[in-house]
Amino acid sequence: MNNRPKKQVTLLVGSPKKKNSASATLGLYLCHQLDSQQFAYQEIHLRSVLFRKESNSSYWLTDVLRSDAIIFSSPLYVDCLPSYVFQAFERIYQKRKEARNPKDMQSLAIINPVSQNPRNLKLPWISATTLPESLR
Amino acid sequence: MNVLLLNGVHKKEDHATQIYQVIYHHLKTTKHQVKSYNLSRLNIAPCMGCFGCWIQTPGECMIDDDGRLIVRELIQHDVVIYFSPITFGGYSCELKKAIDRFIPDIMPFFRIVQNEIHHVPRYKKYPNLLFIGTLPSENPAMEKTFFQLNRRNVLNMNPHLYSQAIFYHHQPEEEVQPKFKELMKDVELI
Repeated sequence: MNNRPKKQVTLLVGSPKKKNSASATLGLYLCHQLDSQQFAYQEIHLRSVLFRKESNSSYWLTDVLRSDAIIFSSPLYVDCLPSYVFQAFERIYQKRKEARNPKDMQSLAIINPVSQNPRNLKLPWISATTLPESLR
Repeated sequence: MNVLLLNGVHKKEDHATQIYQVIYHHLKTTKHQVKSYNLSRLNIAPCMGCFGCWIQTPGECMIDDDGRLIVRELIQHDVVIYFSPITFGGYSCELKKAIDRFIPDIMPFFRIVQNEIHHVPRYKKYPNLLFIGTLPSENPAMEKTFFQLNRRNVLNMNPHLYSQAIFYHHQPEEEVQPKFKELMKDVELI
């Protein structure tokens, strides 16, 4: 029997829609493919957590920092990630900088554009991949 | 000419603010009409991706906040300067939240530009664009992404002329000013 603790995966959804967004659907599809014996996942909608007014509005950052892997799933806004995804990146980066022994984490990005321009797909990918580089 | 300066600096970024001040004061000494907005002080909600600005209220965002003001200002100026600390190779979230709200200034319809799909312009004339990023020190990966992103936005926002540059936090005023003058020439402000 495998007694190893499950790896924690956090899906960060960058769509402004609360339900049924393409970003959440794509991200959740990927999460559902993970072996449930080895992985546990949670879903965080960035727009909801970033603009929440309660005093404990940064609880999601603690969850992100505890994760073994993070998956970003986001739409493309004006050839790049939406503003609040950048805001989330900045807050994750800051929180990791302040942490004494930040956990090593893997990351993966899913970008869904409205139109299919191969060149505009390249940019958000670069922006998304600079995050894990900055986190190390 | 009318110049609009969009300041995407966060409240606590002193080095970027110093560079911004040099540019702002230099512009003020010219004959141009300069208007600036500190975006972090404005109430601009993030775009909610409803496309109401294309379908329900064409040319105007559904969200009634300062985002509407910036969209109107953008199209009424001859030159717009995007000033931002470079964040993960892109703009700061302060500037990006304004840029995400610019889509009322273009049409929902598509056209082919350089073998790519882009939106049809809503207006006959768009402002020339100056992109200015700041970084603590040289960072080739982020700089490459920043320049590439600006070129993409040129395709989206249809300026006749554009230019772009990066200033580093350690650069003294004596270096910032001449470099900025060169940028001004590129968009015919000199």
